[in-house]
Amino acid sequence: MPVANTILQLFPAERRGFWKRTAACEKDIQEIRLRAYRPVVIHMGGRELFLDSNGLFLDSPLHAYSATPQELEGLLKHICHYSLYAFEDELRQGFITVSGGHRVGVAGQAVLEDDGRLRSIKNISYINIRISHQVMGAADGVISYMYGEKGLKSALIVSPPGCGKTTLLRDLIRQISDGGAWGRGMTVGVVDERSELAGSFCGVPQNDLGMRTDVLDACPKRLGMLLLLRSMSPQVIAIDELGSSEELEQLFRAASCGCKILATVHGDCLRDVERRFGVGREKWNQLFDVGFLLGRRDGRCMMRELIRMGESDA
Amino acid sequence: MLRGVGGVMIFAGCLGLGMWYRGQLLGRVRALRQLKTILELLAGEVRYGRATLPESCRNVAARLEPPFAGALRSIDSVMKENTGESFAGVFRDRMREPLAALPLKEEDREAFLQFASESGYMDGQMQLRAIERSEELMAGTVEKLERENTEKCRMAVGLGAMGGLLLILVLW
Repeated sequence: MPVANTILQLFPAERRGFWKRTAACEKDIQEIRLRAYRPVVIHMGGRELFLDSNGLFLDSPLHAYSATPQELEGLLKHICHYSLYAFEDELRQGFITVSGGHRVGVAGQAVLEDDGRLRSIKNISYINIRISHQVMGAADGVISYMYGEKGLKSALIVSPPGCGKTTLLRDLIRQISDGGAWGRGMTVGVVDERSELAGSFCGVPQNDLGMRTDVLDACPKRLGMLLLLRSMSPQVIAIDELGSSEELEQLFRAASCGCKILATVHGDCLRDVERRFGVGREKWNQLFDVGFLLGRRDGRCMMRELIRMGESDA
Repeated sequence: MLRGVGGVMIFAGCLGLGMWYRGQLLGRVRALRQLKTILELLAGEVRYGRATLPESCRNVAARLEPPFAGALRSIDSVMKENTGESFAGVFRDRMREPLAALPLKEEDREAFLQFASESGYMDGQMQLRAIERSEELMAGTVEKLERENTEKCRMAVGLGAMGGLLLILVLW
């Protein structure tokens, strides 16, 4: 299904005429932001655009179209198949992954349980649609660094937000899973806690992660890694956005079972990551063979540095 | 001889009319029970499976006979096609035909379709209540009809037979 279609399908029939023009520019759109009584903002090709009342692009927010709370409510109902209760857990997390792998983030008024836990979000007045773009071949430049004499290496992708670490990891998974001139295809287990890698919708991956990939969707990484190890015996475990010491511990456990590890982590450099986790370089070197530090230059995502880590067989 | 045959035919016709009316009365109760079962199954899917409404329709369809099985399945298909129509609109549209084929009154049909217009609750319990409200309306009608029907059915068949006899006497 063309992406323009999946973007247009997010909207109810009566609003499709308005969104047609925006959906036609699917390749360049990164985000569509709707806020109650505020101008609709489109992030496209590094620029911020607005829409007029006919859905045509404007450069300035003056005379721009503003979304109404009713429109946001209708949009959310439509996205949730008129069954918001079925997406309660996702809404509690603040986002829903929809057909096409796009992510719909929501914000509004929090409803808390007696013990202070978040029960749900009501009066949803902010919707952020992040358009999923699988970049086939995003890992072409790094795949050669992934293989050594002993085969596949474990890799850590370090990057600040918005520099393409998830895109790179997604394509690495696909290429490692499918195999090719660089190596034989391998069984990859993906714990996709935020449904960003596979973009699963109703359990079906919307992105191509390769033919030998098993995805555990919407499962906390800490639990998911153990579950995948037991159930799917993967040769490679992949996770996005390593965030806690517990997850790091589970990665060590997976590595001790003979799995290769692919992981991404937020950070400006490896030292920044070491500091945040309170774990020294030596430990990281035990787990990973190679690291990729990503960044941006002239608005484009790129690899800033190749970090030699464990590399026992390099 | 001919008079006798004519008399028997008139009696059979009038009795048949009474039986048909009885069938209509009982048929409405049967149809309401059938619709109530569909709602109970849908509520079960929402309660235990946390399924979306179109998904619930598909799952329930597997346990039903035609024409409702086909109609419910097509609701799921249309929602999957994502034409942008609301669930309430699709549900009403697809259910129109099978409902028209049943001996129901307009108020029965509306009671059944009512829950679809109340879709989109954030809380699962609220969505369940919407389905249960439709269910309760139907249960109330079934109860009322069952109370009245024993008497009405007897009267319909009796009147049919008596009317037939009266007609024979008049025409003899």
